[in-house]
Amino acid sequence: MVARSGVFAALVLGAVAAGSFFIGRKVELTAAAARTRSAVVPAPNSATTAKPLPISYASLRAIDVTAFSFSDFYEALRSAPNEAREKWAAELEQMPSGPRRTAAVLGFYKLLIQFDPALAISTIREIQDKGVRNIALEGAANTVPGFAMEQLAAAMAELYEEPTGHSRSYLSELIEQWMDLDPAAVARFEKEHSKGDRSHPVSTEVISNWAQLDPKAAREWLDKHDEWKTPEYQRAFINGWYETDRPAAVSYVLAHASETEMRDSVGNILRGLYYDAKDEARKFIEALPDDRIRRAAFRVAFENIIYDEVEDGGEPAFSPRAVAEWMVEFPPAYWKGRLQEVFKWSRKPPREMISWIQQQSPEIRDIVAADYTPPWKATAADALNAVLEVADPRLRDQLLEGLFRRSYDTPLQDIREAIAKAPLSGEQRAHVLQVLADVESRPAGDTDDDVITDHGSEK
Amino acid sequence: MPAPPTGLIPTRAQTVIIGLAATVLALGGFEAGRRTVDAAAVANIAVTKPSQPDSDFSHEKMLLEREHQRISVRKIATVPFSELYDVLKSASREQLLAWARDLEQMPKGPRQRAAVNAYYKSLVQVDHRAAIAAVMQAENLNMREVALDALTKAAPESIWGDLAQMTTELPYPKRSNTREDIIWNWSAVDPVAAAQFITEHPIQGEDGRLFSLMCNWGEINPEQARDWLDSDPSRQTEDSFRALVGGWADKDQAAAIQYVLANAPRPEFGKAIDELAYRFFRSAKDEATRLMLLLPPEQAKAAMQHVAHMSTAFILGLPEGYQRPPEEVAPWMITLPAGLWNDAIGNVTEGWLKRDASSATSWLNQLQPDLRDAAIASLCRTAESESADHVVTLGETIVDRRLRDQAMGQFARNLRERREDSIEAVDALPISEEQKAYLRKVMVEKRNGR
Repeated sequence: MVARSGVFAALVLGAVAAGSFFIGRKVELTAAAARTRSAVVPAPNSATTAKPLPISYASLRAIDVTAFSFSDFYEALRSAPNEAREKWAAELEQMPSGPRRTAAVLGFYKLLIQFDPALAISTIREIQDKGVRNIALEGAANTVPGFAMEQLAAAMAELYEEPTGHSRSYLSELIEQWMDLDPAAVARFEKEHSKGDRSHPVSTEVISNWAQLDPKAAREWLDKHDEWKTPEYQRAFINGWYETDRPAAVSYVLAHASETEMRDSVGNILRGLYYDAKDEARKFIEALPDDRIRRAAFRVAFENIIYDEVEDGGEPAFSPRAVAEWMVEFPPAYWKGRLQEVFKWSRKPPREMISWIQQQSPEIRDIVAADYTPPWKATAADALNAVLEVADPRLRDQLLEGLFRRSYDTPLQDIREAIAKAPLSGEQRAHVLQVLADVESRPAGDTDDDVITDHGSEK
Repeated sequence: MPAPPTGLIPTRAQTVIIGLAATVLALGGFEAGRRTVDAAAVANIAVTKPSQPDSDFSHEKMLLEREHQRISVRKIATVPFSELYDVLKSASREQLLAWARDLEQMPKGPRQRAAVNAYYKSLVQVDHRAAIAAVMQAENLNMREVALDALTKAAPESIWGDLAQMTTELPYPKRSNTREDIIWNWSAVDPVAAAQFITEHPIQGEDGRLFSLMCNWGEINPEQARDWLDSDPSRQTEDSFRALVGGWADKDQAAAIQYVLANAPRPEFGKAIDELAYRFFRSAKDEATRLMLLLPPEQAKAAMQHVAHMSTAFILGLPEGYQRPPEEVAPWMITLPAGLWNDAIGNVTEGWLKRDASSATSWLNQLQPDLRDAAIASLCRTAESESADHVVTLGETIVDRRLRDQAMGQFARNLRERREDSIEAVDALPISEEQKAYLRKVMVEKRNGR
């Protein structure tokens, strides 16, 4: 009897525990859902609790696009019949010219193109004033949805007057966006609208985007139009292919690395890998056939890029110093001569670069110093004085030669004045002037440019 | 009375204990049940399946009912704005920012650009403060540039001030032209407000916003724009005046000419005069001629050089038709006094000879003798070695012997940096020995720094 009572009590207690567990779970689920809903759907505010009636389209004028909030005008425009929209368009054209009209036309067509592109384009076609029509096309180009870009581009090709001064070309900007969505359509468009003054009317950016989105179709297009051997297109294709299928693009370029036409792509791949995967970049360099091609690759990769100090651009890999430090990890035969551009585009004071050169190991310091180029924004006095502070006379003379030979943006007269004003003894000044005279009388030594031009051809 | 079983607690005490145990178990079970609920999962379910009226939010449901909302926002580029509007309008600030973060994580490339573009264009219209917050939180700086470009394109005309304010707080503002683009757009609809903003928010170093502002303000209200520039010397840059004069000329050509004439000696007006001259040359040749005749000779000659440069140089990215052909430039130049063009016409005729030697030669030969001499001498003084055969053939026909020797001597000297190298270069030219001897003889001492 006692045992039965104990079992019964245990069962009751178990039932209580289980029931409480599920009740707790249910309560929490309900509460959590309520919390989340309140975060997703904006909580009613004073405006929504006492929600004003929406503005009727009938009470609106076109100029109100600049006076009402976006939502109010948008809702009114959305609810308006086409006749009302056409009436507003007509009102805009009648407005006196000036910033108010510009704002109204821009605002109106930015909106209209978004929910009725066909009506927007047909309305723009009706505009007689070319200036207003251009503004309307600019507004439309700014917000046109992807599915209507082709229609608008066709209309702009016909109606848009390209700016003749400093202004932007809104047709170009539209095409730039369109090619992110449908490069095949842009290729067709550019071919159809070619004015016949370009042998390759389809832009390289289209090919690059196409290769990223659909490399097979892009390659077929190039083959079909006999453009695969057009160097610009091949380069663009490989650039895009690299982004979508890096191993395939890298393998292809390595397999053709000895071909002259592949020179730029070898460099482009190296640059891409430097930013994306430095280990792969190292393997890529070592896999190239010879040092001439490696040197050419370094040149293409790092000569024509936009360097930016970290504090300006926020990207450490883009800083001249980061590139230089990475280069000198390799044997000098790969990069000799290539540091000149890196030094030139630095925004750091010359002293900082010279200090970096001094820190290099003795095996490479002379080769690094031979590339010294003053930063392009340095004044002649700053550039000279930084070199004169170097204690090692051999290194100092090397740096002086680099300074005198490659002060591209500094007139020679400024350098002479800086030498005259520098705190030097007569003997020191005479020595510096002698280095300058030597540089002037002796042309720069042969660069490897010719070798690079002959990239890959085994002579 | 039997004794209670040893070891058993009396019944009343049993009841109390069982009651207490039941209470503890009830409380513990309740709490344990609550804790087993995954709040994040609930949030996801709630976001993925919002309870909205069917008719109003059909596309929102389509977008959000997918298994992974991540996929939805990444495919935003082709969704019509009218449908996105409702989705974005009803989403919380947190969700809007979360979508922006998700877009940052997409693989780089056209799909990401298209998605970011579409998202920010829509968002800036629906909730521009959320759009600004999303840009400010962006860690992927390349994607941020696409987003900023989208904001600048699609922003309603009433929010330029907020966007301009954003640029004052944006990390790495020099990465793109956002500051300049926003002022460009704002000044097209409210130049006074844009100018006020620039005044209140100066930036270190070269301020590209001034150019944007002056392009529009110069066209809308040039006198007001001019007064604003005049009131602060730090605003008076070459680019500011270039933009002001360009805009002014769009509105009133005669007034623009008067303005540059009154300021012609000021060095910061050099570019403005040059560009005005080329603009008139392209679109209003009579005005170009008038300007040249009214300018001080030095400025007129510099402007003439600019016209020659703009029509012959290889410049990328110019609009179609911006560069005019030499057969249009040279005939216009010689309608002006020779002193204004005899330095500049050489580049133009050399370009013409390269394009069409026959017509260029015919044109030169039909000029009256003094003009012909001056034009060919200019060609000799500026030509490259690759034009040597034309230069020597035409140069020999200059009637004025002194002018001929001087011009041909300059051509020979210009072939190389050092005089001895120039002599070697003369020997390598594809001309007769007699002509080479003549060039060596007349070679001048110094290059003219073409």
